[in-house]
Amino acid sequence: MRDVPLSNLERQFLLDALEESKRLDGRSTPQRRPLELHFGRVEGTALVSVGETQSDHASLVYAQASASIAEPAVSRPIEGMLNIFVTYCGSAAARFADAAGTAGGDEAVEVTRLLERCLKESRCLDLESLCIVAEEKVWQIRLDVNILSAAAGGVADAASVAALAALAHFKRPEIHPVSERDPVALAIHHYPVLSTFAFFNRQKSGSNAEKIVCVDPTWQEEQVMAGKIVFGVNPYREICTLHLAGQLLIDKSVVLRYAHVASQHAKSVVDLIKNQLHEDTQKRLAGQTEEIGFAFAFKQNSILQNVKPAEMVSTANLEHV
Amino acid sequence: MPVKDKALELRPLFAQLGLLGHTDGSVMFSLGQTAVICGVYGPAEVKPHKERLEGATVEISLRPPSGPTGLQEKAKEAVLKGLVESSILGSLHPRTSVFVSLQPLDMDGGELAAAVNATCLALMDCSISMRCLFASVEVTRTEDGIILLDPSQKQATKAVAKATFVFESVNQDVLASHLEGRWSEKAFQAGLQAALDGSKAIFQFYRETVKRKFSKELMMK
Repeated sequence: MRDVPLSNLERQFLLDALEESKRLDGRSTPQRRPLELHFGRVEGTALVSVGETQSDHASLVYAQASASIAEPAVSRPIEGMLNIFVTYCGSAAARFADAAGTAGGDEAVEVTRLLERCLKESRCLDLESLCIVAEEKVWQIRLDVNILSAAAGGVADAASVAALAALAHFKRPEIHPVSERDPVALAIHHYPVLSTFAFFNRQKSGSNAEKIVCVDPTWQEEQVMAGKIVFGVNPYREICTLHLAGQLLIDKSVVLRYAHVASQHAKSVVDLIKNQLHEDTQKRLAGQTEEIGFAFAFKQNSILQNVKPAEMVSTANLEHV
Repeated sequence: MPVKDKALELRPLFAQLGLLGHTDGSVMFSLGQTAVICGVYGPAEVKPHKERLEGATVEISLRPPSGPTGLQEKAKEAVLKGLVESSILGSLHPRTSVFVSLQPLDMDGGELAAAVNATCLALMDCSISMRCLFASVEVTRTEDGIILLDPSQKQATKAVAKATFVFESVNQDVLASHLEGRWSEKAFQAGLQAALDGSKAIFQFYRETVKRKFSKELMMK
């Protein structure tokens, strides 16, 4: 199926508004959208939304970490492995609605590479602690990132938060049975987070004029932008990933300026992950198992939602049948 | 005995319509703590080799929480495809496609039932013409012969037999059933009756959900 394209009028309107530093959703150019994070019942599952979940202007990303035992790579005999798989579900956008499963094509490859560079190549996960027997057996961590909705753009940013949260939430089993020893959390050295900056050319002045920069672009802005920079930065202001896409020239000072902005975002995201993780752990320790999970993640007072409490539906005598 | 007390209880239901912006209809549905997200496109353009002159082409894509799509998912897709094909008025939309995408989020018993109910709600949100609605409930039987309606994973650990029934809303007939384990005739009838009672509560829930969605428009009139 084909997507509904953005019309020329919509494009022009968006660019004209940006010229006056106005955005379609009412944000200022350096402002981000609210980010929501929920953990599932199974350890190692996370659901992240960017934008407004009470309307349909939200992107949704689901990530799940799982572990299995595998043989290590010959070149790295004492290290565990981290594999990342990104899939655009059919519900992400009409162009992905294909039962044969193109699984997202180029866009999925871009997000996969970004996540690999951000999480794997920054060595944020302590892979040596995943070794069981050198050269023979290591833990292989599989991270599945499913993009459920791309309606609000910012998929890479949301995917990195979901992936990181899933890794932080995950507990791998010890090599003994689970009944004998509790599963252990993964050792994470630092928390790198992706943030996207969209660049737009000014229409009236020449190409040398300073570009308009939007933080956390929406889907419409992503369609119109001249190019983007994606940073992977951790709260210690260390740049782990730098990805430049589109046709644009950028000055060195611009890169450094936005790297600083990105690190502030990383700090707030890591705080969010740690707070939610703490809350989740508390609930699990207190045995409030009915309050954990995605079931009521987006519950709020909206006419688009409906809740029905548990109910006895039958009084028939159905014993000893 | 706590198991018996809650034997015929339907767990809490939750639905949020229109969560996925790029789809024509979508829902986040949860049955107890089993949660699933479903998005529907349609009636939309169809690929030429899948085109049918007599009706809409139905496609289902059910993704596992992790890993590649396996046989279990394919089996559920086949059940869902049959259900959607038999309940929508496909002949109104020949040479089009109806695409259903499902993603289970949390699994706590009754996964197939939750997927079926989510599909029906998403089709309703999508406003596709249907000849009937459908609702599904899982029932299990324990060794000492107690029928459990809509059990959670924990409750179902003692089950020796499992069944998932799908009912339609017009005549309350069975549209589909999936059985596991041994069911005696008497137990089967008892389970069927319990599931039918459960499905009525779900149909009522569908009605309330759609009524809420259009509550502003209804107030205007």
